[in-house]
Amino acid sequence: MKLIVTLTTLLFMTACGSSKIDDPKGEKQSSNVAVTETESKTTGYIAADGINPQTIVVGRNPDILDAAATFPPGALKVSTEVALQTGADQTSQVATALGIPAENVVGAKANPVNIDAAAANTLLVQPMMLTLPLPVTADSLAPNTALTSKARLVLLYIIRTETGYKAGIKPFSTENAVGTFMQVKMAGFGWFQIAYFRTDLEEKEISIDFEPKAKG
Amino acid sequence: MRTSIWHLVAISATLCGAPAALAQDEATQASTGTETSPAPAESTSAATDTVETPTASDTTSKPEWHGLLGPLRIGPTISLDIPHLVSTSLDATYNRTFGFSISASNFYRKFDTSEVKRAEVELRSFDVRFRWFPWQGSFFVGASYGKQAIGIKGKKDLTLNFQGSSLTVPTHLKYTLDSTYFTPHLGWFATWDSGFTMGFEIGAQIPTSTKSELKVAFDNVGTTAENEVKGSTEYKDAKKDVEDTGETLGKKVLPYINLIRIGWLF
Repeated sequence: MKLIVTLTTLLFMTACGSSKIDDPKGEKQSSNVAVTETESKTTGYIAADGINPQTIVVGRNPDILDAAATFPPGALKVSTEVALQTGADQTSQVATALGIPAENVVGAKANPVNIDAAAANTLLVQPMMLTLPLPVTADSLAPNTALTSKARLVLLYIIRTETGYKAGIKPFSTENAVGTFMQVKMAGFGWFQIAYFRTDLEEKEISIDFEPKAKG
Repeated sequence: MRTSIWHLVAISATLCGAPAALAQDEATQASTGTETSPAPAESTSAATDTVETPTASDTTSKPEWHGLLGPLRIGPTISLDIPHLVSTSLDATYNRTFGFSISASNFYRKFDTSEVKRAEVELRSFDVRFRWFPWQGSFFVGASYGKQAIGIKGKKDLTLNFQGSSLTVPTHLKYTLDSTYFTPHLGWFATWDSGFTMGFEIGAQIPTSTKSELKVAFDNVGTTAENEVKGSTEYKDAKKDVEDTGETLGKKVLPYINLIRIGWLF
């Protein structure tokens, strides 16, 4: 009788046990340092002597959700807090400085991100890896949207370097695409925005006399 | 397939001759009040091996085919069947007239293909069944009612056309089809006096309800992008198409073939 009870129990356990196949879970970058988040700003402490890459990912600010900055070991000389927040509207200013005709500007499609260190005038010793979400919409994935044949996606940026402020442009390509993110190395803290233009634009960087700004 | 089934029928009929013959012997004993040797028919050497010469007390107290619980014999069996592959059961027969059973199966495999990475397949089922042995032999007609769940999961890189550029998005897909079913069937279920049990069954699995679900997750896709895609009409329509197709297939009647069942009833 004991054997029968044991077998019955085993049978029920086999049948009623949960499925071995878990629900699918997508993977994406997440912060690996302690961060403080508000609706407008994500702040994380980056240690200068960190032996592994340190990443801050925006988790609450809906304007720049999932934007991330990764600092490789040795990226900073001094430990500091780094903040990611919505950047000011500087698209036209940057486009003009880069000599892009106004008629080529389709419009900013993603909110700009401002990344800066709490310690004043902090410079990067090693470039940080910047990860920005592409402005993917259901329409933009459709094969016959009007933008498909006309638009060119680029990253506009303003960074602070040892030799002053620089503005630049990096075209989006399959080489810097990771899923629906654009991932590029940046040599300084600053302002970054993914935008559409009507013509092909080549990679370019120039010195400028204005600084990156955060919104508000 | 038909030839194979007839071969199985022939083999089973031969093997099951012993219990059937014994049942007839018992019926004769009951009607005449005489005791005869319960040795099986000469045609089955396997059955002969399992039958021991009864003692006087045994023959007077209970029939040879009684088990630990008298006319109720109960024990585990394992079977190879379509569509559940390998099932384990707790089977019982009462007075060689009725049979009850609960069965479960749980098949799980993980594998990789060139198209799909980290693929997983799972098939689980649980059912209860009833058997009626009209001639107190091994032939029976029966029915089962149960639930089954089929799950498939895999990872595949999707290439999306995004503003003239192609985006490669690793995509995880999980598809499940849950259904309840009713399976009328018939077959042979032979229990030797020793308890050794063997049989096979054939019938049809008729789904009574089905529920199909597709779950999708992406790697390296922003929250906003994911919400945009999953909220789009195209995505919802494609998902619904997959689920509806699954449910349509799930509503099809499937053959139920239990190739062999082996076990021991105490």
